Amino acid sequence: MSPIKSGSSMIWLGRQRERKILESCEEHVNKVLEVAREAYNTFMAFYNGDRRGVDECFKKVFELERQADTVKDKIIEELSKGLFHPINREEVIRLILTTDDIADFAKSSARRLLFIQPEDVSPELREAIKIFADLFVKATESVNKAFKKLLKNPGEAIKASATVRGLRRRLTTSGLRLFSRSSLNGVRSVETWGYA
Amino acid sequence: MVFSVIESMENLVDRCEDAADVIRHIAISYL
Repeated sequence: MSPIKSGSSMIWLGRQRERKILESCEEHVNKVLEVAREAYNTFMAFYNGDRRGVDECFKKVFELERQADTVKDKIIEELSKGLFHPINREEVIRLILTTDDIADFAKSSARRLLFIQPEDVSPELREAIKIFADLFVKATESVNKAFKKLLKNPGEAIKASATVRGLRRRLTTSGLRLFSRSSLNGVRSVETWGYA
Repeated sequence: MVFSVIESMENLVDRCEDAADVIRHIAISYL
């Protein structure tokens, strides 16, 4: 057998490795969803005025985000070893780094709640926080669903990824409605939020 | 501070949209 693999078998091997790496990415995407769900719990504790709950949930967010980072590092190390088409490698890295950003933003938004007393926040703003938290956890769940379909049925993954765009539109609409309320005028205008 | 919390959540949803775009690109390459 020739030590030099033919072009088609190289492509086949590359594809197999890419699939294997994508299967490892599932662990990361699942961990990111856990981070988002725990961040959501932090927001709900804040919404309910439960200061201790905010602190306890944030500790879990912090730990889960650290675990997600460990999984990410393992995958990136794996990607640096193998036989990959550079374009495919780039896409997989983009996917990992983007989902890592989701976990980072979930952690940073939940961390900021540690510095705010729920009773100092108006009911309208607490309601805004709840609506946004609902949307971000749904968006993260949709990414998770789309990713799982990618491994089984790419056609379905394309359809599932469109759901996230719909949620982004809902967020913009909610933001417009909330920040144009007269009770919030003078705090920060709609224009400064980029919704106008 | 409250607005920076909301801004972070908005950024999170933006990243979800970016992740969905990457998933779509990879899915297209598998079709």
